[in-house]
Amino acid sequence: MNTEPLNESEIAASAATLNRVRTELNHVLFGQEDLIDQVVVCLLAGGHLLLEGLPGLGKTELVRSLSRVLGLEAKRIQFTPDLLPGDITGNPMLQDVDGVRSFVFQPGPLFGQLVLADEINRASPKTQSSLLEAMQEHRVTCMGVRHELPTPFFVMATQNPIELEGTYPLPEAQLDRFLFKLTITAGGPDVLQRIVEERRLGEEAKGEAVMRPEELVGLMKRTGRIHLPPVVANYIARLVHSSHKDQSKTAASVKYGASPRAAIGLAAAGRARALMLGRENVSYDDIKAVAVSVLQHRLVLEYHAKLEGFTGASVAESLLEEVPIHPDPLPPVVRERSTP
Amino acid sequence: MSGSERDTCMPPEWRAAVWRTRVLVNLGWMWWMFSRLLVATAGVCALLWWLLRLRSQPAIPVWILGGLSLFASLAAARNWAERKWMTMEQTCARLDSGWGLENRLVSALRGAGAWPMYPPNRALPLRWRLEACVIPPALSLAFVGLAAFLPLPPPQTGPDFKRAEPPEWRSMQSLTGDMREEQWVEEEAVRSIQEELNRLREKPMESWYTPSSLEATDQLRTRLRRDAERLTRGMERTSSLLGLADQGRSLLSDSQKQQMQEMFQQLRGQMAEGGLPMNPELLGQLREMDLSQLQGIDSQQLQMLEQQLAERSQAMREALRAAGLLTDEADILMPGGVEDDAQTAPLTLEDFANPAQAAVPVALNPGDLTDSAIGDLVELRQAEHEEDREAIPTRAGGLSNRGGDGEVVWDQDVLPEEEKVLKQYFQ
Repeated sequence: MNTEPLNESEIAASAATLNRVRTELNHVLFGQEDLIDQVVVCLLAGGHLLLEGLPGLGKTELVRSLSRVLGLEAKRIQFTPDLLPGDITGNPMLQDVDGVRSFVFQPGPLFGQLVLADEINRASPKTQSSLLEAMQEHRVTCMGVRHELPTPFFVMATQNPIELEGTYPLPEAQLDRFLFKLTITAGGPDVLQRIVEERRLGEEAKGEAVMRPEELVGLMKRTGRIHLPPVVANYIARLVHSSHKDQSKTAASVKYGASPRAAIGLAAAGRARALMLGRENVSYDDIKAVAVSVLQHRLVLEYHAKLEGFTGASVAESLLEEVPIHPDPLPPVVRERSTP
Repeated sequence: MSGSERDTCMPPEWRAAVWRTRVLVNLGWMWWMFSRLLVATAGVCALLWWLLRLRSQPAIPVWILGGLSLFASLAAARNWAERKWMTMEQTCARLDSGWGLENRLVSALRGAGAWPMYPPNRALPLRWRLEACVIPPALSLAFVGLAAFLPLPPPQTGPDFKRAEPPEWRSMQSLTGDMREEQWVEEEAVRSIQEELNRLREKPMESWYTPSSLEATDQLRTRLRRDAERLTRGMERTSSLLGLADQGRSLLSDSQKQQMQEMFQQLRGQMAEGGLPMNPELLGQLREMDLSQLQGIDSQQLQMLEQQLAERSQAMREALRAAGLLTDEADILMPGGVEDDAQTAPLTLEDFANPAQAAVPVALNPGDLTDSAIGDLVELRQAEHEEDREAIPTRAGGLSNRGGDGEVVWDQDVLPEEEKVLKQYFQ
């Protein structure tokens, strides 16, 4: 693996490409610039995405637009309680091949480059867990035979936060596989007016392809060459460590803190954001920008904290406020100059 | 890449900025610790200075102590701050965050990426917190100023209240003063008593009324009273003896004169000994006198000595009474014995109901002193024994223990004549 730092031209080219992706997606999904940036960062970091939002806010549209813009093969699975693991991973079918009847593996809808797992929390835990191997190792095992998933492979799962009856909340192990958890919120009146003016019911939004899947893989590889300064790595470590009980004031609301996988995810997301913004190194701001998305679904809150209205996102934001970016404090006789 | 290599490849403007930031922060740590020690040192020195002012002593030791403490504080602050000094990477991270450089500086320090452009005319992202810097020295100066200018409490100009020492000390002081002034006794003996008295006085005031101090006072007082009374009695008896010698010059036989001389010698010895020996000058005059050769002694000289001794004994008795060592009741021997009647106390050779002055005329009236014992003629009342005259008798079951403790009298306070008789008896 090439670990040489990127040169300026590589960084500039990458940032320009990614900027085109963001622009194209912004033409499809109005008023969701931050969400689109986060989605691009997540894909660039090679992570999976959990989207949470009310119906009709454009979750499916986002996935379709992404597949078009990035040139990825998109698949959609509508999760229901009676969905079986084989329905998504694929099943062996008895077929006549050259006069011999044998089981032939028929790939399921999981074999796509961009998989939309719609309302994932409606499927049974058994079916949900069938995604674990695919998400972590990018492969499916059926009858002892491994089947590699296409590259790149992204899972974008959605869940509805309101209709909880008849749902199966995702277990922590499953949640930990998602790099980001994002929440789609409705835009303001201006955004809504633009949607009304430019969209027709039943008409699919159009988006032009900006790159091919190979280019996306190349960008993902470049992400790994972004420099992570030790001081920033130290900040990531302190941030994740402070999410554990008794390690910070905020952590009093937390039952179980973030895992080391979260720290790795933070670093990867920070690198991806730095590349997207055309920088050759990760900064504190990169980490702050992705921290809530990475941490919020990984924090298991105490019961009393839930009663008091805390959420994973609010606790993650408190952690960001509590943990200073510099490990060593300034002497009391010195202070930072206020930025003009 | 090592730290020094990174430092050398750093652009000079960045190196200067990093150096200034490091100096600022490192000095800040040092100053913070030093200022705390400074306040503590100033507080202690100011207190010491004020106390020295209070005692009107020079403040030089405080300045020396303060100077040494400042040097020690400086060294301690430097050592402590060294542990908190910023590394170059930490300094670059501070500059990154302060100037919004997105961590480009620390990355360039690590060889990742180019050095960012130095922002011209831009102040360092850190600055001194002036109030925190100024307050400790100001507080220290305030301490020193307080010590220098805080008014001292006014000196006590009121009456000098003496310590309420035990009254016995004052009475004994007065008595010894009289003794020294009137030259009744040897100078050295008076000085010895006064030294003992001073030793009691020199003890802390808190211990003046402790049982041990009071007991020592009582012992001294008892000894002084006993010695003074002995001397007084000796002078009285000697005066009576001299008066008898003067009046019976032609009536006394030679053997009686000889007995008188022996008694005179005993009395002289008695007055020359003890805790309060008689004035040596007067004692010398008495020693020059031989009553066995009465015819050769000038009558006027006898009368003068008799009068002098009588006056001195009277004056001493008055002084003892004034000092509370001799009360009117105690002056008269209390009756002793088992019964509570007015009987002669055991070991008392005369009924003290009769006035002492009548003893000599009564003895002289018969005109024939041939068969008279000299002791009888010289006021036998004065042959009384030393006893505790102030003892309060206890009563129980109708019996009295008055007259007890006579063994002590016999053991310690017998007269030479009585001692001789006792020896003859026990032989």
